[in-house]
Amino acid sequence: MRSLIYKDFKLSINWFFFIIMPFLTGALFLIPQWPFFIALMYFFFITVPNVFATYNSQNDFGFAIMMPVSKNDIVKGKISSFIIIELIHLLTGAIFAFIHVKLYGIDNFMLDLNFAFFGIAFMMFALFNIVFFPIYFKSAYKYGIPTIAANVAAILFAAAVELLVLFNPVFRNFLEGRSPEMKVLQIIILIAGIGIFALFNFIAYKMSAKRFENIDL
Amino acid sequence: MRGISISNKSNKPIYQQLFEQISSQILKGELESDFNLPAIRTAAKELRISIITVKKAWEKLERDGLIYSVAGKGCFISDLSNNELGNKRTNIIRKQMLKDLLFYKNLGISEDEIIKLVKELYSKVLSC
Amino acid sequence: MKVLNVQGICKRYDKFYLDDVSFSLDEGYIMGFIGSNGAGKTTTLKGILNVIHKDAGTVEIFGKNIDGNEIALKQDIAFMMGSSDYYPGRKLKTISSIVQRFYSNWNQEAYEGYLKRFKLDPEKKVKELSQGMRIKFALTLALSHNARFIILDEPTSGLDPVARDNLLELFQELVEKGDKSILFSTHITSDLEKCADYITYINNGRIIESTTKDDLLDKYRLVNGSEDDLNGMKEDMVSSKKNSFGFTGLIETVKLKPYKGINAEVPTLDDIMIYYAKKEEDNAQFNI
Repeated sequence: MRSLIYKDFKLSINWFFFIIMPFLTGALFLIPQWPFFIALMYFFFITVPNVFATYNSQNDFGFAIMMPVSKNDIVKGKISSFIIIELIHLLTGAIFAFIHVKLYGIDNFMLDLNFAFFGIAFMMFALFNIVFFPIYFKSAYKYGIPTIAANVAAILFAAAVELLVLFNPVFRNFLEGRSPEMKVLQIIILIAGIGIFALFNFIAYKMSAKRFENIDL
Repeated sequence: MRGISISNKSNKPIYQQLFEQISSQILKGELESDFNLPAIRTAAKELRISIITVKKAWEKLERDGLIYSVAGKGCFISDLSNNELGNKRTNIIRKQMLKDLLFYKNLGISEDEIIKLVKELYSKVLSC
Repeated sequence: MKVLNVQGICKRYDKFYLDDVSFSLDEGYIMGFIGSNGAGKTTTLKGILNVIHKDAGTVEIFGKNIDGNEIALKQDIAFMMGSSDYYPGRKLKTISSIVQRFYSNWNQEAYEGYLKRFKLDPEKKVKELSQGMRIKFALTLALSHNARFIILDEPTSGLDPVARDNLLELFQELVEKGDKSILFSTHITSDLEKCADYITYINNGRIIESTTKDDLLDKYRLVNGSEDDLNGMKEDMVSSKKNSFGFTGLIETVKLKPYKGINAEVPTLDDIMIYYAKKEEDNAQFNI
């Protein structure tokens, strides 16, 4: 399994997508007064289709299936390396968010760059993964439909949160309130986000592995 | 050992070709007794033929008493007296002649005609 | 010991059916797997190694069922499907450095030996290699972890005659000690006439023969004669072709006996394949 992840980063995925891209999307956090989820979504728009197209053109699954690994491990490895790239994006995002707050202060027209924001971001990635992977592993080849479906889910979710923040003061207070209670709540949202991310990824893996088992590569 | 030549195009099975060439070398005394024949798998590799084919040829040689095998060491040329060699040679010739004669009989040739032809052709062979 | 025992593999596709495929291979031998394009060779090999999901049947390798022991067994299996068209933009040394991580018994010395033997430059990228070189690289990767059972799909296609001959020599070298076994598919039957001990012949998803090469060639005769001769024999033959001199056809040797005086020869593997294909064609026409 570890070898499969190592293989992905050494052979399958261009380093641009896990070194340069996180910094580029992270740098978007420096734009003032912005719906920051869009910065993270460039991962969905650019990295996802590129990486999965490259898997196809390099015959990545054909290679993996020849190694002494189970089909389950192939799915686990593939999802794991994907998660690692997502985490790199979130981490660099967090670093740039920190710089943003230092530069401009926390106040933002849309959702502020606080703990709750990253909790919601984890949920958005979780949603993307649970939609994307089970559809993708029906073929382990066609990435177009799963990319679109997962994007729609992630965009609707993030848009709903942003709109609630804009038009519902109670909700806005939950996510942006500065009182100690609200700050605790926001940390809880972050932890919940991480929990949902882990849970959804696990479910996505289970569903994907089952489907991949029945594919004839 | 003299060379061995195997033909895939021949109608004769390959093991038969191998058997005939080695047995003739033995019967002509070209292979010394106790000479160690190459191992089956090595011979197969070197002659570029199947292991099973070589096995078959070696087995036939052993059945005919031309070679003997020592477990773990391989096959060796039998130590045969001139008398035994002669007998074996005659036996092989008998078998072959029987086959040939059946063929001539089917063509409807008489004994006298055959003998006449053999004499005529043998003198040609000698002059070769 | 049986290195491979395949029992009753079935696999249904829309337009193709792999029908109850069974055969086995003893340790230390080379088996050639022949059949025309689309006969089911690759599907069978993929079914053996669980690359495709088989509908029915069992596969035992080294006496162990592959279902449940797949990962452990694959450590001891070398497997190559087609040429290496993986990661065209990567250098050979990068790919091999990854492959070796997967195998506990990777043999660096053997790997470097094959690179040298095949004249492969590890600094080159896959896309810079010719088709023949790609196959050699795929073979190098497959053979460098001391596998005891080597399964190769069409390893000789795309190689020139000299390279093919070298490869067949290598196969015989590999089995010389008797602890390695090779199963390889090909449609170039002259490859097999040189080195195969056993032949498995598949036609239209069904195994026609699986036996030693000597017995297979011995089992059939290629006959030719006049059209009158054909009339009596037709029922007994696998199939036959008419020409202006009479006919030629394939018949099982045991069925040949009653027909004295007919010119009969040992067929080549090609002959056997050609007349079985002809039989199928005839049957198809008959069914319409």
